[in-house]
Amino acid sequence: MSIKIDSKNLVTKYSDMIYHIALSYLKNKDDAEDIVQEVFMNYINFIKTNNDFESENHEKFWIIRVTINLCNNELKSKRKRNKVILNNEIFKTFDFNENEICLIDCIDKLKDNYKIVFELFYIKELKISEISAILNISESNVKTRLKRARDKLKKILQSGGERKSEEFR
Amino acid sequence: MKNLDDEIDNLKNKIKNIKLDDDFKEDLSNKIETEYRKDNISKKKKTFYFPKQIVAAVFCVIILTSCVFADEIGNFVNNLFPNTTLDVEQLLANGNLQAINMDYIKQDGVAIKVDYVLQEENSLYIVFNILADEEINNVYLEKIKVINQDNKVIFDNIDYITDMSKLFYKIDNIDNKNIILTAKLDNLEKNEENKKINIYIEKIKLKYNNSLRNIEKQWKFNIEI
Repeated sequence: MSIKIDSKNLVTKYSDMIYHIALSYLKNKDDAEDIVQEVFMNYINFIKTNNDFESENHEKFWIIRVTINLCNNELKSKRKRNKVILNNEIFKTFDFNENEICLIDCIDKLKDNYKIVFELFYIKELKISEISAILNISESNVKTRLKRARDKLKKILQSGGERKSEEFR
Repeated sequence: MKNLDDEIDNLKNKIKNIKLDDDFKEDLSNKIETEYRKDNISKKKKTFYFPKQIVAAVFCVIILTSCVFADEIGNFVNNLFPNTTLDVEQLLANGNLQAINMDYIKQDGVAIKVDYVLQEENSLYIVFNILADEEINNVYLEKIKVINQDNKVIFDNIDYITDMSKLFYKIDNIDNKNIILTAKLDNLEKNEENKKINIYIEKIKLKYNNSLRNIEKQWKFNIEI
């Protein structure tokens, strides 16, 4: 009854994607790596319980959704324990320049439900229909959130100081 | 001077270049293999103890003195045990296993009822009995919310507030139109406070041989635990 897992292929296919999402939430390499591991442990549980995914898309969407939820839980838990939530300086270690970090900072300032839609669309390059499936919201809702996220991002950038508004006019 | 779209494109490409170390990936891959194998080994161990659990289940028929028949209990135990580490004897002795007597609630050709509810310290199991008008291969719970008597959310992916990784379920086909779906909701807090639960299913997905169908209707169940 149980299916075979090609763990190498699985890791190659999804680990970097999970890591990117986790980094953008947690701003910490170690925490992000922990999330990557946790997602795959959940994956095994899912396979064990449900035998398989309905399609490759179903698998990918499930992984993204679980990653987001685990990151949110980790953030909640850090806040409860009064742990410091790190900032985007972590991206300096990946050779991001000040402007790029500034843009990430501004994206971070979006409300959570706008931020996730924005990141999935612009950074992870998912389609509207895919985001709708992942977040369990309608496609028109995704479009509305995207538009609002973009508008708000522009506002944040414009109100964020002279340097930012000059850069992103 | 760059515009916002160029900056986002640039950021996207930079993020794409962030990679996990190869060593980490290899370790992870090995860990997945090990975990997966461990699961299979523990499944075999559970099979070894299965007769004892059947005895416990049959014993339960006498204790419960209800209309729960042995084969139903057998199915239920079968349903739960391949994937869990529950101590059935203990659960039965503690009265944590509840057989629910209710009628099907039918919406759009799909009738659902709750057969059993089982409460552990950190998990809640709900066994749904799903009857369709047509032959189906699988059912997915797309939107489900479970709250207790104090309106405390036990699980809720309708409002996208509960971690989806806390919902597991297992499917067993009784026949082509009848599916038993055991949902396991994990990491509950203070489970002992749940005296009554309200279950709302607002969207399910049915899988036929070559197609899928979404049904957005409400099935609502009120259950005393």
